Amino acid sequence: MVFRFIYGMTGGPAQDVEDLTAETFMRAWKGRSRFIGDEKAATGWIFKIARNIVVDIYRRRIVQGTETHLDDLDLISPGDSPEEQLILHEQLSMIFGFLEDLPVATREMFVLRYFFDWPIKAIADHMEMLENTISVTLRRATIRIKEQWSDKYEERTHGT
Amino acid sequence: MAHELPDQEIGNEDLSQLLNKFQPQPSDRFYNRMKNAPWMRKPHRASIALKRGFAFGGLVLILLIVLTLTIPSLRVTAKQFLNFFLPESTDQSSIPFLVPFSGTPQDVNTPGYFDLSLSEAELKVNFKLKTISQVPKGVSVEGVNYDPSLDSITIKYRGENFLISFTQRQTGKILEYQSIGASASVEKVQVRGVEGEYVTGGWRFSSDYQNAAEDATPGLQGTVKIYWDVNLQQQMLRWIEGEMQYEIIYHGDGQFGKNGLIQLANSIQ
Repeated sequence: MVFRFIYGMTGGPAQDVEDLTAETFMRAWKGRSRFIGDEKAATGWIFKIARNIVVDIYRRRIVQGTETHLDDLDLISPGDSPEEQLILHEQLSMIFGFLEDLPVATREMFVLRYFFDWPIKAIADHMEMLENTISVTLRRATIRIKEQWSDKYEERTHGT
Repeated sequence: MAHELPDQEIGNEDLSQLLNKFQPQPSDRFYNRMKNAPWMRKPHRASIALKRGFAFGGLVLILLIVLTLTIPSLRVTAKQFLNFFLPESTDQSSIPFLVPFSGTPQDVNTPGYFDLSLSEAELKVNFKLKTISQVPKGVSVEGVNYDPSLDSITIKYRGENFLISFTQRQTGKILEYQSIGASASVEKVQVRGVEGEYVTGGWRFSSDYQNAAEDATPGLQGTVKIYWDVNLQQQMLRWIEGEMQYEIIYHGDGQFGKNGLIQLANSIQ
């Protein structure tokens, strides 16, 4: 779950995501005495640690100018045929490409909503923001992604 | 739409379906790395044994403290392993004093009023009062003081150029130590068949004592600085016998010395 969250937030590559996941667990272990709550709260707490680590990475990437890339095909649905996986990989690459342009907070909302199916209220509680803010921000983000998706379709159809 | 090339339109549900397909798994490298994580390590046997040792030691210590505080005979035994004098970290200190409405400020740590007779004092305590039976010629009892905070009796003897105070109290009620300066030396001596402690010197008021007294409000408590004077003509002897703690303080021209004090102690009846 943490691995998938960080993957959603960074867009890979897988080896970096593994390192960040390990770092997240390590920080959570060191700070375990400060945590109070149940299993559900623990997920949110670890996601927050992961988000902070990702924010650090983003800052470094801005300085270094590094881009994110979706990793190899073996990261997605192992039950699908190679052709299906190829298509899926292409579609996901497009989505991750769009996500790269989103601010970190919006990206986090998007990951929690569409990767983990969290309700708007749960996202608002987790991010300590108003539900309305989450809804509006997500709506704007999905509209933007849909527009980019259509543009991409146009590019492919017309070969531009 | 998930398994086709991108359509012209993508809805929210398509987006959810597509992203639900994204189920990345960490590689073996990650799991191998996690095998060495601190939460996967078993506690070291030596560490467990050490923790158990500390826990056991702690329990024994607590038990000893409880027993020492609750059983008088154990408390007396324990007290014999402790020093009767408690050195300060330096030769300077401060003490509280009461500022009277008139007259000299009164040190609250020192019995100020010896206005009881021996028979009156005996009624105040639950132990048999002892006195020094062989006092030097010309020495007489000047008065007796009862200190309710320590439940102690102090008998003051006055000679021509000296004072002797003899204090007795039950050890069972309050642990009481005599504060001494850091440079004071404590000598172990034999008194009445037990080990006692002998110290020379004493605390003196610092020069600002009078100023402090004048600045203080009459009727209230103030503090004044004191310092330890190794040359002060004062000798103290303390020891514990059974459940009683005794102290003899000689203040005068120094004719008694250590052996003189021990002789006084030996004559106590």
